[in-house]
Amino acid sequence: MSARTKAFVNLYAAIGTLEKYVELVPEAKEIAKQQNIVVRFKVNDGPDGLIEFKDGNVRVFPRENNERADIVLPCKSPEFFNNVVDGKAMPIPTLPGILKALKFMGKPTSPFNVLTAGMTEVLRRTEFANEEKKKVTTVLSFYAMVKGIAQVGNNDRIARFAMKRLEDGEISVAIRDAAYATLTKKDGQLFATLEKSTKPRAFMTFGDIDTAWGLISGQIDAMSCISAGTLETAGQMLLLDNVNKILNIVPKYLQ
Amino acid sequence: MTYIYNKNVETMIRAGKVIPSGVYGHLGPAEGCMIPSSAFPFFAAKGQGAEFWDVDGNRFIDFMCAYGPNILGYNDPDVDAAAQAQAKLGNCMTLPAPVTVDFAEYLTQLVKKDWAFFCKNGGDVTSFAIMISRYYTGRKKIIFLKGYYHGVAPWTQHPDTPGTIEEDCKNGLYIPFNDIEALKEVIARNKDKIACLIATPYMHGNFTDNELPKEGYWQEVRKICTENGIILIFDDIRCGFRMDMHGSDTYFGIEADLITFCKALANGYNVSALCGKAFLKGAASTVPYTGSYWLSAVPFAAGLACLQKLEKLNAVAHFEKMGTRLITGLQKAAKARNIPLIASGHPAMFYLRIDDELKNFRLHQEWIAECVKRGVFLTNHHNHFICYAMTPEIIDEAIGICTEAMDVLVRNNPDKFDKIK
Repeated sequence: MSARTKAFVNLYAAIGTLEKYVELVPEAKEIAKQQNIVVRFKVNDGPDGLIEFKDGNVRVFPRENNERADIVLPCKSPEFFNNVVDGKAMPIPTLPGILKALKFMGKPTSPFNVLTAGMTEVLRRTEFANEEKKKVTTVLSFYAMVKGIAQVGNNDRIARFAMKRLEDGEISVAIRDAAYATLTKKDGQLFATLEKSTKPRAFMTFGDIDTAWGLISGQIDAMSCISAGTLETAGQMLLLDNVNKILNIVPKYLQ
Repeated sequence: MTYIYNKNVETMIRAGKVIPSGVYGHLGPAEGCMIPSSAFPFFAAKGQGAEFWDVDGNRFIDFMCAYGPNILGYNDPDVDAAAQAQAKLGNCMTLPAPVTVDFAEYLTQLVKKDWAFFCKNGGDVTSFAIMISRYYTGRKKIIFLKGYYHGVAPWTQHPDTPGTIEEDCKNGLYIPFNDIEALKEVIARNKDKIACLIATPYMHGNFTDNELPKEGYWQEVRKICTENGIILIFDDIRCGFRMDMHGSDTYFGIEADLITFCKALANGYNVSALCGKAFLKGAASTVPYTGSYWLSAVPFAAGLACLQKLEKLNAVAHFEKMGTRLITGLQKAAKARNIPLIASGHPAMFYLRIDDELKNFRLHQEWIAECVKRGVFLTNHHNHFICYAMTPEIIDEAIGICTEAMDVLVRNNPDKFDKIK
């Protein structure tokens, strides 16, 4: 496993799923509302990305246009950043943002830490008190998986073979009536957006929450679901074939 | 009325408990691109001629021909009689039967090569061709033409394929089909390192219009390979005996150094062959390669009867005629409905595709599903096959069913057809 790829997955797929966590869990949205702030993680030889909290919404995206940040958190290496995500290290913020940083993520009870801990708890659930909790865990895991496909496809050395073979275009990935996402291959890169595809060239649709949960948690296999019709695949299947090859590698990064 | 598949589904549920994927590989719903799976049967109960019946008793006119092996027709009486006669004498014995030699003599004379080596599946002989080329040349690298399929052995795969490691793919060089300049460039960059170029006679990749070679392409490839000491391997597993009884290298006017055969070789009996020129016979003798069933006599008897019958009947002319009749009929029906149906490849192995704005195959897949549910077995991703048992009457019946399926497609998608008119 590459630490650099893990850092991209951690920032854009794991932390990136906060975007949907605050939409799906009202308590999380309340916490996110506490502070409007933009945090920049600047990882040497790794991702340089922004986490924007605004009016209870969260957006995680690469810093490509010199966007301003309230806090800059430099990390000396992907390994260091991964330790930060695992709670084993703390980056030292640049001076102008130090007070804001301490307020935002200085203590276990700080908003960022409460949010990420809450989301981690939801993602790690394997038993569910009710169907709603199962749905939230499944949908969030689904979004993390789709974002993970893009990051692993762009960064993992082996997965990049499959990513490069993808033709340009959109791939619709969905849980029927519950969650929609789009993978787009463009300009030699794979992008994930957590919205319904408008021009899909291929389709992968989990028939229901149970199927999605079974597949994401590894309790059932995709081939059997295709035979049973609970996993629908259609369109330009070579796109899905290559996405599946990336997907095979995603779990080792999204533990 | 469209077909129902209750027993197919029941059988698949049983299969899923004891067989990985239920049905693995290209005959299964996933790799076979059965879209949606509910439109397709999963298990065949019996076959006869150009048709098979599934376990629910539904009848299908079969344009996949078992993905190629059915060339004369299921249960061909002459091939089966030859196989049964040999079975009474002996099949898998301690020594090979003389029919092994009869088959090798007939095959080598037919395809204009000097020797034949028999295995069971296509992947066995493509792998052997690579091993022989490497041993003979003392070189490692292999040129592939992008969009290729030469089996599933690790050397044919990419590093991201489950079960394949990066080292398996280190010696692959990948260039586009029909591109002589790319071939020259890759050879210049890998001077004296390339053992072989392996290629199908034309490009019949999945989900793409099949592409025939440009005028003079193979002649130029042959010349360049000879000049650079590169073994030219024709993978004729899919095309063999459908375009030309003498092999597809002959069809395109060249002579390959090695040529592989499988699918149509014995009308469904399990045998594959690697045939080669004299200068590679010593290498083929030296490279260790064998299998428990590779010298079983029954498939050789079947193969001999199959090739003799194909030659006697001038079957390749029939394949072209029936393929052309089908394509012409389907395109006429499509045109009348403003459906942009594209046919590509050789008529004996035609590929069909309904064009659409988004290039996502949804309309095409919907049409194929409607055809299958009415008794014409087609696929949306792969080229099809014509067999000798396909008569004009069967072809016309298929055109009628496929036309009805087009009407359903148009009825269900009026807005989409407006867009692609």
